[in-house]
Amino acid sequence: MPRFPEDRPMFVNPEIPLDALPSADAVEWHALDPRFVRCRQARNVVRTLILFAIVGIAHAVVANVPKLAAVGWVFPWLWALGVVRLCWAVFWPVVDIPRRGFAVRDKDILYKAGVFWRSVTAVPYNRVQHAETGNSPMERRFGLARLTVFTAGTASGDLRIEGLDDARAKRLRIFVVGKVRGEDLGASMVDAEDAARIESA
Amino acid sequence: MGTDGWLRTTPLAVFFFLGRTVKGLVSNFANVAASAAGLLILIKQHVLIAAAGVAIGLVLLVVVALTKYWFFQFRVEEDGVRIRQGVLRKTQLDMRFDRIQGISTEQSLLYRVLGLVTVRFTTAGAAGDEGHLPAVTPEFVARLRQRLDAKPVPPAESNAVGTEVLLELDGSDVTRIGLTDPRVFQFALVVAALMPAFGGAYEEAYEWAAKLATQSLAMLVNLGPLLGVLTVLALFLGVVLVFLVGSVVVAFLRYHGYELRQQGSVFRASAGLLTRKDVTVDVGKLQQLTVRQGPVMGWMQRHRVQALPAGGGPAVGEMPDDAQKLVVPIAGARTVENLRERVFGSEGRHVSVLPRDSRFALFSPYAIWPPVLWVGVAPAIVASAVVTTMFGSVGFVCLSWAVIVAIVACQRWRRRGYLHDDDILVCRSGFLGYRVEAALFRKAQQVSVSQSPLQRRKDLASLHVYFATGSVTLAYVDCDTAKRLRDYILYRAASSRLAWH
Repeated sequence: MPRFPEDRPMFVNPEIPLDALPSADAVEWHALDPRFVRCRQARNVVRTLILFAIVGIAHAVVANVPKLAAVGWVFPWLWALGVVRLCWAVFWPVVDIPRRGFAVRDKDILYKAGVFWRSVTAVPYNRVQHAETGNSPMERRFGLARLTVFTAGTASGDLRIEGLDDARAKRLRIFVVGKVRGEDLGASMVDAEDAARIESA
Repeated sequence: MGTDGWLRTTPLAVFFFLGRTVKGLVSNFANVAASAAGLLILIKQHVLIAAAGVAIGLVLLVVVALTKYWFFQFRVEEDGVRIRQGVLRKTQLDMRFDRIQGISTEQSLLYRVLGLVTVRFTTAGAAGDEGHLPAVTPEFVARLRQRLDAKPVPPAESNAVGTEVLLELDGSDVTRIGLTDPRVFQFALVVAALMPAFGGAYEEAYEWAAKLATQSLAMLVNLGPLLGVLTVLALFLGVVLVFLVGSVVVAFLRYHGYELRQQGSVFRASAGLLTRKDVTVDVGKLQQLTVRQGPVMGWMQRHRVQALPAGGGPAVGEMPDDAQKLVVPIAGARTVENLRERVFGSEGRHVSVLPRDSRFALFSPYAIWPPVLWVGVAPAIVASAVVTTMFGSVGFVCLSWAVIVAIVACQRWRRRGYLHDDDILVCRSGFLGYRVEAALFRKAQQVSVSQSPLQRRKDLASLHVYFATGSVTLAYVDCDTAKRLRDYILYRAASSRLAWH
């Protein structure tokens, strides 16, 4: 029979108080770069203008071909829808993007999005397969980039944070990859001074 | 024998490559449709040219298969298996033994006669089976398995010490699998719905039946409308019966001689009448356990169980591969619970994966509102307004759509439920039958909490937990419960020292 030391416990197994678990809501959310609003507006406007061009060509064809005159009534409605779409393209990013945000914790990365349908997604670092940064021509024009964090599986999709400053996205990727490797980089990847806090709605 | 120690499999592997080439061609619908259309036009105009074209095509297939066989070489080394293949685009696959998580085998009828098997390797993190070795001997497979495992493993055919047989299916079980195939039930519904569309065929059958009845049973002359009903019923039952027989035959082809065994941490399932498949899955690699029970299976008190390993899910754009997952086609309640205990071990002892367990908590009834509103009421009002404008008051019939959607939504809500303990999350769903998904918290890949405007107003939320093989959603639970569960799952995923795959 082994003898247990009397001065100290041989085995400690404290209970985890579930109410004391850190809540993913009690974090300071970092806003996306303000330039992302203009970037998204520009992208939406370009897409809408392409639609306008297609409708314009179709309208011109219908107007000049007598056999197609019967479908001419569609175009006033299409132009009206196009104008609504253009207004929406300019207005919606102003509402949507300030409500997006991300938070970097010691064990996971969080992302929140949504105006009407809101969601908060969390990915633990020890489930990350790899992380990458990238940007479209429009994002490059505004000096922005997106960070994509990949996890295993196909149903989950991947966590994508768009609208980050290019340099910050790269630092964030290095930080995430370091966490995946088990390296504690010990520095916040988010500059406190330029991280506008989002009003929790 | 190749060069530098590289080996070729037996020449019969040509059949394997031929099958893969044909499968590759057939899987592309555009290829098949274009070839069939071209061939049909050619047959109508120039039969000889069409025949020559088909012959050249077949010869080309054989040449491609022979070339693939010739350039397929493998080598078993101290630390792993290397496979070289490709004619123009050459590839070399290096699989270390410590990465290989299972060896599954497949034996077609021809290979069974000749005593050969096709080996599939499964590795951690791969989206599908990573490598094949076609037409090798069972002795070679046994040696590979011995090399993989720390202790020698007996050949699959033997039932020696260390192997525990968990389930064996006999003829009656396999017949039940055929009879309870949900596709039979769905097909019967489709046939019943399409019966009126085949008016011409129905009239012919009616006339034939009426003639037969008049000739053979003179006393039934005045059956009239009853005979018509009986004819339709007999036709319907006949079609369903043919489909049932077909389903049972398919079940025998797939599951004849089904046997599920456990050898240490490895599950091994083997079955098949003509082509015999042997699936090996490591317990630690399993991510999700799915239990299904259709209406007919429920009546028979049986279940279908499926365990998905990491990497066993389909890659994007691909169909799920049966060779990757552990399937128990029919099992009683005791076997299902036994499987749960073996898959999850000491974790998840306080939950059940049986769909009719009384401990399942229902979601909030507000879950019924969105489908009723957006799928039922709104389209019904629009359709009713349009049809009423065009055809008068008959358009109000469209409002019945909202009632149908409401009934379906209520039924789906009644089927949905969840339960959990400290280790495992179990979620139930279904419409006529049940589907139960169970997965360990510590294997979660992502967690998300979402709220719609209605959910915010009612202080509800939806929790989405993503695993390597799929996701589990708790829709319309109390917001505080969803957030606490999310925080707990993140804690378990981040703090667990056990490997998730």
